[in-house]
Amino acid sequence: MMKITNLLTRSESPADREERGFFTNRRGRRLFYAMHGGQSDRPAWVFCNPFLEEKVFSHPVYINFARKLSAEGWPVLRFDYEGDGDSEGDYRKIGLREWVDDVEDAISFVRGRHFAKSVNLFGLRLGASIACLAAKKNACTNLLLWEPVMDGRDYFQECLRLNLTTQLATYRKVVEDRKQLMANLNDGKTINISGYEVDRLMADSISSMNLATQLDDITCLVHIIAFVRAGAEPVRNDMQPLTAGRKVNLRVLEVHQFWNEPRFYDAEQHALTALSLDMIAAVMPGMPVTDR
Amino acid sequence: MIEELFEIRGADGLVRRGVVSRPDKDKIRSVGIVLLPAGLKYRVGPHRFYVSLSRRLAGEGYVVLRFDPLGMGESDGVLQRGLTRDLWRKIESGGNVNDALLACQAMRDSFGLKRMIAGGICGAAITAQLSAAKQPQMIDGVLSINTAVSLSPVQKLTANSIGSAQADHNFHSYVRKLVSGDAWIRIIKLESDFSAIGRTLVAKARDLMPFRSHHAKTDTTSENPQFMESFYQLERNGVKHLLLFSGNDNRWFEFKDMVLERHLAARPAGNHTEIKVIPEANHELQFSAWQNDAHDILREWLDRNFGNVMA
Repeated sequence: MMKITNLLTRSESPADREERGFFTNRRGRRLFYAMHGGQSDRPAWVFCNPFLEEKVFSHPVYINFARKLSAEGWPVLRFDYEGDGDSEGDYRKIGLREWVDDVEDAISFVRGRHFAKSVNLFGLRLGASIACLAAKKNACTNLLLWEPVMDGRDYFQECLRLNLTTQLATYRKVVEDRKQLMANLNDGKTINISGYEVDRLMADSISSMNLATQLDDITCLVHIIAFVRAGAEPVRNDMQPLTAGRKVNLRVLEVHQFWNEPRFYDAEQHALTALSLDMIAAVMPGMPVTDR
Repeated sequence: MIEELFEIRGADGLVRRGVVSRPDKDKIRSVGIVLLPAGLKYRVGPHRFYVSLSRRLAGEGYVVLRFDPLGMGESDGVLQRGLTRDLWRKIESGGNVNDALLACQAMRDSFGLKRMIAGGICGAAITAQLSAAKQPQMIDGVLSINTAVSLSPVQKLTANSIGSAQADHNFHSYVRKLVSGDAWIRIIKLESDFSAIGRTLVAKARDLMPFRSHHAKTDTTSENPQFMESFYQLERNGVKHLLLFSGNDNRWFEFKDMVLERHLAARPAGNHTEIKVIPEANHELQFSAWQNDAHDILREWLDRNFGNVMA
């Protein structure tokens, strides 16, 4: 029988203190959280999760990035929004406004429980958009966005495509096309995206998002890492306009889509983690850019 | 229903973590269920299926742990960087068995449970089966949802890797698509999976050859060498085993080809083994109706086999 350690690349316990539990949001729901590290003079990071199965696939990268930040002296709070992960609630009654409220509650939690003096926000894909929405309402020092969703309408259309793909695989044809799916939402029904039942509240709140507009009202430093596929030119012309007239630091990196059923598993994402830390270190007084 | 964190420190000093859902005290049964990760998806399961399932089962009196072995979810350790299918293969070969047994022991000790069930989807199912075969005194029941009979391929699939049941399924699907305009557009745009079409046609032609024996119709090299032995061991040891399949899933076709046809030759699987199929469902039971069907089948099986084990 194979030993479990054969599966592991690292098998030590994290050096920093980790604490897990549930805190209660403003709607009385218990939300799962994991805190990495304790009290610190540095801002605490609050992580905003991506959407649906992207959250499940990116979980190993999130937890390893949190452990890396924590090992470098930053406290990190990861948590699950209401209706997501291990938290209480149901996707069917949730929109992005509720999730932004959850981020605010998480910020209050980390300030109160761990005496964080200031906060940084981080998110991947839709999590980046949620971090932006939360940053508009809460003072934060840095905003770190990995491959943020640029246009919510396009993103939701991608979500609908997942439903159509499931229909094709199941029934060998599309039983309900995009128009019908949208009509279902308008009739107060839910639609199934990758196994999750999503209602109009969520659909509308995602579709109305636009990253450029969101960034207009944000006063903190914004660090964006845009991803390109292996071998592609390290250029993202679609994101370049975001830097004009804004405090946005954009970098482009070759990263495989670890949030989308990856064929290659890499929880540590060394290059991405190192670039993220360097971008933050460059604007944080007294924090050297390390040789990672 | 109460949910709380559950931590297990192994002899290696590393901590395995999970979330346990417990019924209210007046409803509690002395039966625990450990849900194991579906492949590399951590303890919440695909589309959070394990969360909803564990809450429903806790509401029916069972103590349910959704569990992360080392390197997964919230547990200590980091899984090796590499091809996903190589990690799947390690899991299918029993890589999580020791942690699964550790979790079952910890559940018995912590809650004084008299009976333990382990299971889940795909990689979780084979992990539970191998665990129960290794220590039948620890696990009284196995819940296998779309279990993996084969090992994930180390290289590109060949025609021989498609069994007769899957070839039939694919072939009928292609025949139906001959009248579909969309399907022809996908072919013209080169968007179709020509590799799968080719393998299906070769497999179909292979099956039509009269001189080919039944056993030669499917590739035997991909079969998990531990599957049948552990399958029989559960039966011999009286471990209750529910095999739940999705009618549209390759795992079901594979099970029909490799287990029902080749090994059991249409004989009943045994007194302790039950096989159920949810028609049309896919591998991860994505649609709510399939999830409800799975829950209903599981609840009936639990009630029948473990319903009278009270605290």
